[in-house]
Amino acid sequence: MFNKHQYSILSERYFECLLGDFTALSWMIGLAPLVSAPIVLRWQSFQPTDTLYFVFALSTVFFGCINACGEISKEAAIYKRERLFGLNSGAYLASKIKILSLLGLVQIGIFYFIIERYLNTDLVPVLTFNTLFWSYFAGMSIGLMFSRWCGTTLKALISVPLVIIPQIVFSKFVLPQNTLKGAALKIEKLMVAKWGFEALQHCKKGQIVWGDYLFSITILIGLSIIFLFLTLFHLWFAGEDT
Amino acid sequence: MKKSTVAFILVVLVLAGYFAYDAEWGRSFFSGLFSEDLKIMRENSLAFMEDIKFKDFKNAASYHHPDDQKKADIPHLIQRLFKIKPELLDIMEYEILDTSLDSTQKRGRVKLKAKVHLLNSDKIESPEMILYYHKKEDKWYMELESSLRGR
Repeated sequence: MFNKHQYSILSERYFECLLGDFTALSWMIGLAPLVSAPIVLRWQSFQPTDTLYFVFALSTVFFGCINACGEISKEAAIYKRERLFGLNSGAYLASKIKILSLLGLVQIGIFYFIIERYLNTDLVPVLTFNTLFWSYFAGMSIGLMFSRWCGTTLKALISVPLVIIPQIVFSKFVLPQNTLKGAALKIEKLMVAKWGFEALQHCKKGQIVWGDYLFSITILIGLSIIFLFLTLFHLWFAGEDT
Repeated sequence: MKKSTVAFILVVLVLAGYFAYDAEWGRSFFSGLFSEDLKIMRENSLAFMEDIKFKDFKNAASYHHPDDQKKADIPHLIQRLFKIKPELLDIMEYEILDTSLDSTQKRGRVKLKAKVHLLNSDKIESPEMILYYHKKEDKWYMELESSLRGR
């Protein structure tokens, strides 16, 4: 069962650790302006296109993935030891989700502010932010899953391109949508950037398609839950193993 | 309360504040705090755009000075601005970009951006326009020379 007391203590400890490592924290938050700068430079004098929306979704998936990919693996030894003293896996994972979501809100806030300030996105602000946040959350869930399943931080970091490249390869921007057949068609449905992109497409100013927008967001949340459950499963499994 | 929870609440509040200010009602509220004139001009401009959206040209003319109301041929103005007949124009969205007053506080202008669907060509355009206001007898009136800025 979920242990609320442990969750509270673990969240606080993780938050303090994050604040303690100021260089890493600055680098994480600094990613938002660093990634948004080339986007702004590239699209500054153009009308918004589908490619721009895809780049938004992909960037936020990347933020989530890169923020989370080392966060469980770097504490593997501590986790193993604390499990011996009754650490609750659910509380441990929830503490990671809370603090990484907080970091995500800041990152996405900065990212959104810059793109909205310098680009004509033609998107509804609150819905755009919501989409970008859930894309980040899905990326973060994948990052946490890799962080646990890969075992070491190095392996998890190397796995980030394995998450990001398929998002591009299976998008309609590499090859036309109708070329996706068989297994590729099923894999495409697991690509979180695709759902983030589709949600953004459905929240254009004056052209909001609520049904499709909410469907895409629901899929994003659903996929995040699956990835988080897989992470939790491995945390439980490792706990039983010790 | 725990530090992380306080940080979470602060971040959410800052974001909520930003989006509230970014939203039409938020900007209207904040500008209204500093100047009642700016608030009136914003409200009139939005009401004017809504009237045009729903093709209520009679009401759209009512923001002009009583002497000018009969001269305010809104359908003709729309045709001149968008180069399209009003019945072929679908105003999908509009927002205020800027509201300003001159040094005398007797003249003002509201810059708007609209998103319109030209039904005859099935094109979507985002024209910008400026609505000009003059204060006469302590009331704000829209001027007929309101013009399109660019496409």
